[in-house]
Amino acid sequence: MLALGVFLNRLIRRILIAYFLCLSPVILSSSAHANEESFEMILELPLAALMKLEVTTPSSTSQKLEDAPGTIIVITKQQIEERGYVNLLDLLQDLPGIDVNQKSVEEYYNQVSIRGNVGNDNFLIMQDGMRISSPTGEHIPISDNFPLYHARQVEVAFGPVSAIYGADAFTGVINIITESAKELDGMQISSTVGSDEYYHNYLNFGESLTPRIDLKFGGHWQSSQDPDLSKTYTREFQDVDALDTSNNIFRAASAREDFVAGTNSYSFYLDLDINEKLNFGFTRSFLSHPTTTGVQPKNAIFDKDADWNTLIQTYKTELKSSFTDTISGNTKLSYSKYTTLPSTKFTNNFANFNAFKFARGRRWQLDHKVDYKTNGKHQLSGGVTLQSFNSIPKTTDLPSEYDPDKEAGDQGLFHIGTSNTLPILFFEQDFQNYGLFVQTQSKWSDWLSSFAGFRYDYDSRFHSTFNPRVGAIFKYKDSTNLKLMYSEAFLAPSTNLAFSHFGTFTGNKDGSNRFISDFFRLPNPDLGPEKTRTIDANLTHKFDENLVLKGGFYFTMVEDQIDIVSGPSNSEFIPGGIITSTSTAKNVGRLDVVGADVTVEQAFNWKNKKLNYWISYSWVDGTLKKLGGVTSNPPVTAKNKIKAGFTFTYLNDYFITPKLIWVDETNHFVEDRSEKVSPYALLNLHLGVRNIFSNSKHWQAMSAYLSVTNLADVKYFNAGGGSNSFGSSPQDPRRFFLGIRKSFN
Amino acid sequence: MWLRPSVLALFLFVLGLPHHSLAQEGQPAREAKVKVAFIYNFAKFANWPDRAFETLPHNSFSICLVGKEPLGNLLDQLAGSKTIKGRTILFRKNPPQHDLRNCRILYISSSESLRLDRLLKAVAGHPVLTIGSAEGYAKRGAGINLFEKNGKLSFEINRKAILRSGLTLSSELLALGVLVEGEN
Repeated sequence: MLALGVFLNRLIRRILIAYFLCLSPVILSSSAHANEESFEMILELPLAALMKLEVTTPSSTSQKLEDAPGTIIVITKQQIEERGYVNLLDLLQDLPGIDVNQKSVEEYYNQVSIRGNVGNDNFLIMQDGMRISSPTGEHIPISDNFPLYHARQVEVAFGPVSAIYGADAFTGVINIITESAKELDGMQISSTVGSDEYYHNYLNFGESLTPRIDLKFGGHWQSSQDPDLSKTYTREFQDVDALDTSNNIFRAASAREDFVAGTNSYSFYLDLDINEKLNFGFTRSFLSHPTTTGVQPKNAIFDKDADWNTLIQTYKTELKSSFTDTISGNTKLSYSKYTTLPSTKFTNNFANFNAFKFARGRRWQLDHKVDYKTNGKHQLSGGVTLQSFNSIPKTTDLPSEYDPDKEAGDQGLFHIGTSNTLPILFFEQDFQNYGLFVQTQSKWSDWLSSFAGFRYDYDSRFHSTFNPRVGAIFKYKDSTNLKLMYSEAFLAPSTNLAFSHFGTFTGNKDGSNRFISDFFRLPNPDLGPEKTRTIDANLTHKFDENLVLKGGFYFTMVEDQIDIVSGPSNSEFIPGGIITSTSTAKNVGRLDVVGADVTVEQAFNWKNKKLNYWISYSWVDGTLKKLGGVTSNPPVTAKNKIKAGFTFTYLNDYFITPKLIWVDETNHFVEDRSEKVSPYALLNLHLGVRNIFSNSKHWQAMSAYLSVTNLADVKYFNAGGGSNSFGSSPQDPRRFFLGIRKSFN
Repeated sequence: MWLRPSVLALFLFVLGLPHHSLAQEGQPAREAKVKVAFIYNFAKFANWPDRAFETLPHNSFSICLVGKEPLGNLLDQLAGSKTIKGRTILFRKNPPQHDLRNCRILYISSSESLRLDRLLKAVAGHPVLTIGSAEGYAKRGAGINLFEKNGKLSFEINRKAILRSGLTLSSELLALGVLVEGEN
């Protein structure tokens, strides 16, 4: 079977590449003359004829939010700038229905919970419609590896969207839409410095090289030592003995090292567009964060080299075609690669205070989509997806770095504590997924629209899934909009979860000459997908053009939720070893969540001044049922949240935005009803000046910004992420950031 | 299991359909081209006093764009291929505020709503045709404002603003546009 999977993957990849090589010249040559002649033609038209030209057509109109089949929030470039969002996490923190718990988990740094369902792998992150989160579903950190300097807007769609996007669009889809080359029309550079040796720089460039070729590219680089939390949280970080898994002292309290917590990141993107028909794109993002993040000092050693290093790259080629005035198509070929770099190192007790990790996930994918629009009232969309995956799941703790130049089976590495006798197994996987989706949208009258669709996927690991989606949109005049929706989605079990295994050997042997281990996490190759069903109601009412009320209510049920449960004792999973206690991942949980979000947005306009404010309240409650009848509240989720802020703008050049977040008690990751993270209120401030030197020939288009996070310098905590971690993870004190930006057009 | 060959066959069939790329363009590109064509036509049907060109580089006609609308490349193409009143078009993007008075056409993007008054003040009393593209620009003092209605572009004219700038408009232009009164 393994050999068949490898063969199929290679065959599929060759078919994909051959198809594109044959198709691209046809598209390019057939479109050669269209655009240049049409601009000249338009210039020659008399004024009366210009006034008869359609500038928005049914096949090219961007759908208004109120007509879109889903609950979608759009944050614009202006809002990103005025609210001081540097990366995606900053933006998510201010949105209703989302819990952001930072610096709380060693492997993926922070935790995002959407509508009561925690998991950074539960939602898709896309850039210009291309997935840029892990292709094989690993938990990934969400931080400066997803910058927003190049964003024209960010669209956040809540709820299950597998009916269109397939696996992993479980709690939502986030799409970062970048500015076009024409919009950029030049270059921007920026530099920011801040507390704790924080540096952040970016460059963004875009230009039309010829009337038919647009190029844009950009990149950022960031570095920070981050605050020394041991100075602010002296009780949590007092010097204590570091203990191994048998409670033996590894390092005495008197010999403890200094606190270390630096991060660094970079990203790069490039986009080449030919004739608005053929597009080539590339993205690369990297983040390094400490593997001691959120870990209690008794369980880990602080080490500047103890970092988790995440690298994600995507390549895409996209063809847009118009068959007729009403039928258009889109074909996309992409390759995506996720890597936990070999330098990733743990210094906690589970890893014997010095061990390495590696993981790699790759995906080749071909998408083909066709849209058919009839007289502006009905639209039928359909598409097929062909995916080929290769994955080396997260390894156990390695005694030295994984060598990526060697095959997995040739690494020659042995379990720590076995005197180089028990070889480490790597569970490399090859698998495929085929998907088919169909969706219809219909406008029956001025007050009633509907949508319905489904997606069928066949995954060679766990066979088929079927995810329908249906809904209706009711409008009353132009002021009130009500959406009712039902949708299903599935979360494919990542190879990370299915094959995750880690633990340590004591170095001792039993009477049968087997190496003894006190604990190991065991793989479960039979892990299946999680399944969710959601009922969603969404109301928008405009009192006038400046005052909007938005409300949403949802009920979500997640079945077969993956949970870590006790495994067999005295396991011989590793030949030559005996493991006295084990755990493993299984589909045993069920999560029922009910929630509601209410948001008010209002704008006041005067001659040269403008004030926008927003305030949202979110409520979410539910039950997580686990094996053995154990129940708990939805983990890493607060029942009540308030998020509010305002932006005051003067002459469009001066602005100030204070933002307040209040979060109720938050449930821990580790279920225990009696323990919760204390409520907290956080005040952040961002202010700036655009066009500082508007009358200068050389220094115009220069802006400056000042940000202060945790303005009141309060001590607060976020929900921890594991058994080694703080239940309540200490958070940053007040920090200052000062930046400048210059545009060259 | 049985569906895999069928799905693959369907997929290959759809891929095999002929892809004919017609001249249909994306919405943002077409709207931008039509807007630039309007600007060109306004220039043809407006008249500047002779003094308007005394201080400019010899035989040039300056079109300036302020703000973030993606018209720059098209205005560059216009400058390279056409003339206005027998003069070479000189396109400038986001010039310094004190230099706006030397523009003969000033196009103000919708992104500049909060700065509109300051921009109009910078060119007040000078022979500059101000063109806007957001709701209310003509009422607030711009000479001409483009707006979209039923998927097509049209324009409104503030005659007093035109007169204050020392320009005149042809009767054809006045007949096609919507006349609006200014706020003051």
